[in-house]
Parts: sequence; C-alpha cells; structure tokens
Amino acid sequence: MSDLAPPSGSGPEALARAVLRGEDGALAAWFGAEHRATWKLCFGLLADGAEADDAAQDAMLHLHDHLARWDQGRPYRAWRNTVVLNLCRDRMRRAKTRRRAEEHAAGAGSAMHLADPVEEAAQSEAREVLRASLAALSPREREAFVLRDLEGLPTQETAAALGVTESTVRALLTLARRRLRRIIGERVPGLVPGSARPDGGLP
Amino acid sequence: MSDPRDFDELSAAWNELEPPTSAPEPDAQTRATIDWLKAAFEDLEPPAPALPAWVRASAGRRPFVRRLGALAAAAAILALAFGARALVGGGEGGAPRSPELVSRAERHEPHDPISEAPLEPRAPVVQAAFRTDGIELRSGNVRLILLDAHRKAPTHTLTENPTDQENAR
Repeated sequence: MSDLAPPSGSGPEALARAVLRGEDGALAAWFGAEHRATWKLCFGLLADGAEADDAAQDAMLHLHDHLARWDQGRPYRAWRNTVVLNLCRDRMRRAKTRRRAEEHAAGAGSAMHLADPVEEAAQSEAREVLRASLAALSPREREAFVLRDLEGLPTQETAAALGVTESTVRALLTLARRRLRRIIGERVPGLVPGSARPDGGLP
Repeated sequence: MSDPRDFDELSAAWNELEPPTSAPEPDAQTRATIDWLKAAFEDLEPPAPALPAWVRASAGRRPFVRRLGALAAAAAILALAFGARALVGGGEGGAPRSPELVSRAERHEPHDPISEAPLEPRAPVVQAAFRTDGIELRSGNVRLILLDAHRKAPTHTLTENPTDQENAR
C-alpha cells in the first residue's frame, strides 16, 4: 500500500470521492481507513467478535459496490452508518432464525450463549466486558447506544439512521444506559466517576 | 362533582407540554459507565486488518498496466471496426476500382462487352498472315467477341474431333 501514490485528501469522505474518481491507490487507502471504523460499528451492533469479523468484510465489499449510490451532497459517515446498520440487522435476523432452528433441532429450551474458551482467552478482558455488556441490551437499545454514545453521532443523525424519532432515541438511550450502569457496576466494581479507563477500571 | 374548570387547566397544561430537546444528562456513575465503555470501544482493533483479494487485485496493478489494458481494448475495437468495414466492402481495400465500374455497379446497369470494345485500333494495323479458314494474324487491338454467351461448351467426342474425323476417312 505504501508504494502507491496517496490519493487527494485523507478523511473517509475525501477517500470515498477519490475511489469514485478512480484515483490510484484510493481503494486501498479507503479500505485501510474505513475497515477499522466499520468493524467497530459491527462489533458494537452485533456484540460478537467473530460475527463482526465476517460482517465487516461483507460491509466493506457492500460499501464499495454501492459507493456510486452515495448522494455526495449528504455526509458520507451517515450513509456508511446506515448501510452497516442495515447489514448488521439482516445478519442478526438470520442468526436469530438459525439459532431458533438449532435450538429446535437440539430440543433445548435455553437460549444461553456460551462463548468459546479459546476465543475468550484471546480477547482482552475489557473487550469481553464491552461485548457482554452490549449483548445484554435489546437490539434497538444497542443500536441507539452504539451510534449515539459510542460513535458520537448527534441525536438527530442517530434517529435518521435508525428510522425513528429523536424522542424514541432518547427513550432507548435512557433504558440502555440504565441497564449498562447496572452491568458495568457488577463487572467493574472499582469503577468510580472520573477514572473511567478500561485498563484501570477492571479488578 | 368536580369542577369542569379543573379539567380545562389540566388540558391546558397537557397542551403546553414539550418533549425535552436533548437526552437527560446522565448522573456521575452513568457518565463514568458510558466513558468506560466508550474508551473500550475506542481501543478496539480488528483482529486481522489484512486487505482482501478484491482490494489487492486493484491496488497491486500499476497505473501503466491499467493504461496498457485500456490501450489494448481500444486497439481491438479499432481492428474489429476496420475488419467489419472490409467485409462489408467486399475487399475494396485492395486494388482501386475504376470510377466507371463503380458508377455502373451503383446504377445496376447490365454489362455489354460488345459495345464497350474499342472499334478503331490506336496504331497502324499490319496483317502478318491470313488463313483460308478465316483466321488472320494481325497487329493492333485484340478483339474477342463472344457471340452467344449462354451456349453450353461443346462436349468433345472422338468422332467430333476434326483430326479424328480426318483419320477415320
């Protein structure tokens, strides 16, 4: 990647425009800049590391294939978030159907998800706490919390991405924050206001 | 019985209600929870940030190679266009056609070789030999007139051959 001429501009939006213009090296630069953000968004929305890996690859390919449909008069990040959100929703729907079918086939009534011990060991503790906390939320609460509080979108943009009103976003946020406060309080007992670092907050 | 004016006041208060314009400010513990989760989110790294094949395929190709491909495609299109024209034109790319032939063909006129043959020789004619059967050897234009173009070629047999007939006699 480093031997390619850098495209004009370095932000995600400028890189996306460079890809559309077919500039040399733009695709690799855009992928390098966007993959991490897309993967994080997938991780937050799916609350599953392995699913996020696959979802991010799919999302990057989908974003690239549909880049020409992006209305360049509107913010690129909002378009990207909407595309990734819809892909993650589809994925969750399919996973839910699959899980139901597997449970039905096994004759098991419990929906408890046990993480792979090898995967658990490979992941850092903070990441696992984050994953488990987000997994405890309902899909709609998680979407609102990830976009508004973790991605830092304004309430208006969050509402537009989710296709709901701003009041609904605020209600979902309140529920998500309350639930997360309880979970984090149990998992990170030493967490006190003002010292919110994942590495310092864990016991 | 309650006073109906009480309901009016309640109704007015209800109508004056406005939803909050922003999310309620979280308390300190909730703020710390959000900050902790946000910091963990910011530190997330994808496990394998390798470029997939579809990006490598595009990024690995040099601009020169990409332009070479475009040039080759353009050359192929030009070759096809000229080839199609040559086929439609019936090989007109070879010897140039005379304007007379072109115009006649375009006018769809029948070919009349007798009328087109030159009547007068362009140089003095010298008669070199003359046979009794009417064949002469002379200089000047060679003129071959096909009197009956549709007559079938004669089938030669041994008896029809003059030499053989003479021998038979």
